[in-house]
Amino acid sequence: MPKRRMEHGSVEAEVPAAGLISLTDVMGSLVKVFVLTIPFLVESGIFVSRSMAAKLNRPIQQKQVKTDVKVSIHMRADGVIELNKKPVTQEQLEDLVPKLLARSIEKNALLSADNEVVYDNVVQMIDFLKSKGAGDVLIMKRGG
Amino acid sequence: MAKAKGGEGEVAQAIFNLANIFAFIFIVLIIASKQMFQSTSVEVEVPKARVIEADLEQSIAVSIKKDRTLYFKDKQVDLQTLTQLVKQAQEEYKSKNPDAEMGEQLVVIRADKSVDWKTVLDAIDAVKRGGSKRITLAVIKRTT
Repeated sequence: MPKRRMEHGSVEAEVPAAGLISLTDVMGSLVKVFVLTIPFLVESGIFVSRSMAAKLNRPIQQKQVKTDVKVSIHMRADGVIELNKKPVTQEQLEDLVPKLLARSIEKNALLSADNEVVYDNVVQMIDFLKSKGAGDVLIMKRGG
Repeated sequence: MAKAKGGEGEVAQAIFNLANIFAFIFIVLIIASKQMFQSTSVEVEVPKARVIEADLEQSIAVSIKKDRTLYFKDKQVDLQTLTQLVKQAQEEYKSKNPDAEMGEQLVVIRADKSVDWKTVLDAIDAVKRGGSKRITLAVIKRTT
């Protein structure tokens, strides 16, 4: 065990705290790691508050909603993504969405998906749109 | 000399106590984390997202499990019951908090990421029929 030399020159007894200090450090580190990971454990939310579960088969409503909307995305069950009714690849989507949003005043985007589309994919699309600058993503419900 | 040894013993004891406190805090955090970070005990694997918009404190949790079962807080419900319960909850909230800034309580949809979009959309519709306009989709912050 290490010995500690005191100021007056005599060798003092063992330092019993050495092991405990490491223990304290380890416990302290664990608590810090836990606290730092909290943001990745806590559930947060993406707003769909101004979502419009409106029916797309109502042409008048659709026209009103679309006034300033330059980005309208539909996710098909077969995995194809349509941007303004034209099928696009992921690369095209990443290129076109910011440009289209830049032309919009309110920067809103419309999003619809087939019933069979996995929820996670829809959330990833909402996340993508918001990360590219969409103010609100208006959720539309298709069909009867 | 004895005094010095006594002092070291006290330091060791203090460090030992500190380590114990850290350990205790760590264990409490681990055990309480689920209750701290979730407003319901219903287990679902929510999607991850980069864009986080809402703090889910003081929210009404509506959960959708992998098997599409629907929960209002911890109670399994169907869509019609969900609408009624949301309506009741919002009325209670308004009567208790007449000066609430947003006027109504936030509703968070905690859907398992593997469910189909229609199930989530039906739940959103049911919540909206209950008179809620502030709705978010629960996500966990993505690290990469």
